[in-house]
Amino acid sequence: MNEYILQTNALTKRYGNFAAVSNVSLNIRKGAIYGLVGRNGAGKTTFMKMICSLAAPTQGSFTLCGETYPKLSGARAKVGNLIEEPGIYANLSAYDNLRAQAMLCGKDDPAKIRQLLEIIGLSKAGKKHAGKFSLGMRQRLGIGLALIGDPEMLVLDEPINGLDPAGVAEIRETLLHLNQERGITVLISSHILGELSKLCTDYGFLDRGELIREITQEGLLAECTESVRVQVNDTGAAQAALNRIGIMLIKAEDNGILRVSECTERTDEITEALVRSGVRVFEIAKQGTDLEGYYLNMLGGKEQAS
Amino acid sequence: MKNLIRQTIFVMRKKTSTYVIPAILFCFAMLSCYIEAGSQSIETTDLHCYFTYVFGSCIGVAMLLCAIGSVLFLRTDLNDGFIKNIAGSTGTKMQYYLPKLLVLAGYDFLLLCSLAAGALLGSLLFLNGLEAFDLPAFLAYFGAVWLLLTAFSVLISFLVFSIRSGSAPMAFAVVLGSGMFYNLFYGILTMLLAKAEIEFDFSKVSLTMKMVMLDPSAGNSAMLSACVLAFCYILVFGYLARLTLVKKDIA
Repeated sequence: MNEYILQTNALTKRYGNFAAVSNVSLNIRKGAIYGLVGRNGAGKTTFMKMICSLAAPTQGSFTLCGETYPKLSGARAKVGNLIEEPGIYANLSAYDNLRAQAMLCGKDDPAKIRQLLEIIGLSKAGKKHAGKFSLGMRQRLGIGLALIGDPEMLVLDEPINGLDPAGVAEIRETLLHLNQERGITVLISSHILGELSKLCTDYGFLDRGELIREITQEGLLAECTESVRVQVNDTGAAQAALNRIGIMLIKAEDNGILRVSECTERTDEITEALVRSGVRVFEIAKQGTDLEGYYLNMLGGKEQAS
Repeated sequence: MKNLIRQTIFVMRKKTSTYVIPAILFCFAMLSCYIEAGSQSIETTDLHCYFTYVFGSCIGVAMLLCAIGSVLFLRTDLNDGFIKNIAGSTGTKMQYYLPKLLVLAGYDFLLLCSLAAGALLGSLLFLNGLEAFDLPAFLAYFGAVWLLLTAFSVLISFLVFSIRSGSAPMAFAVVLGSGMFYNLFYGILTMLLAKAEIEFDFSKVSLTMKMVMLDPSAGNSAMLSACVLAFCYILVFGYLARLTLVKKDIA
């Protein structure tokens, strides 16, 4: 049995000469929460649109829920999506919007719709037209629409945009619940990288339409682990001095820089050991990074994630 | 397809315009009967029945309202972005388009029924009721007009799917439905052809003119030619609309 719910093979989308997505080959495990990270225009939305049959790939192919593009008739029903703005009928209530979507999926069950309204926190919206909803309510309704067909996979493009902190936390809890309790795989993009890091098990980094890195949460944690950066005049002597006090995880970099990845709380001992050995210390600093820092470092640290 | 038809009807039932447009047509037909009773422009002894006469004379308005209704109906999914949810649930673009067309044809039928109801009530209240009414001839006329109106809706669907803007298809539809397009476009063409000493009656191939000029008492051959024209329009513009849908990504 295939362990991946989505596999893309050199997926490409061009508009004229502009490649919005270029040769993206990625794999999403069943049950994963896959974070798609990239700045505006990196190709995240276009990639998601192709997966959700809203845009046709120019080249490449993909396999979704065991079916290969373009024959996705069964797979489509197994994927719920919220791409860009939620698609909702402005003149209908939240209940009626969910009902319209449930009819499409052939799952028009009023009890289930009411249960879903509870899950997305819109049970008290009553007959209010969705066109008069706040941004947060619209986002929650969009997630509800994506969930109505009991999908195996959710594709969510910026689902927490415009939500207040409480709303963001609610959505996070809902997604984690759906992932852990129902085993729903989630492909999610967001500009709020801190929030993604609380959710995701895997990450894919897109830049200018290309997939520049794929990494698991474990791999990311390993790369983002706290370290002590020391700049000295003699890296060989410094390494020997640190080894003598039991510090072995040391990596030498350019320009006399050593990166110490253990005992990072013992900066005073590190400094003392180096000075006693006659090593001149120019700079010593604790370093650690989060997803955002990792992402910015990967892009060269010059441009901010917009 | 069954699911999409159910969903489309459900959403349509919730739209105010679904009720307002047939109601306007109903009132207009009744008003026409009232005006007719005042002016007495046709003889009661004429072969024409007042009901059929009023029904036929209101087809132009029905066409205009059909144009407006079709644009409002077809743009619902596009305006609100719900098409993104639908596209994720339907297999092909044709599976999206075909149910929409079927429901639209049903809506056109409803429009003609409300026109017939208004004309009937008006005739009964203000005119001579159903005197000289020829049911088989009227049904043949009703069927031909329904087919022409459906073909007109297919033409409108092509406009709606090919123009991304929300207001432009409505403007085009009104220009088409009001007969302005025929007067302008075919008028210019006729003038140009006349200069080349070629005579051609464009009203024979114009869907809108065919609808307006079709005589309720015309024989079977006239009804048949109207149906053939309607089928041609449905095939050509249905194909073009499908092609446009398939080619375009969903925004």
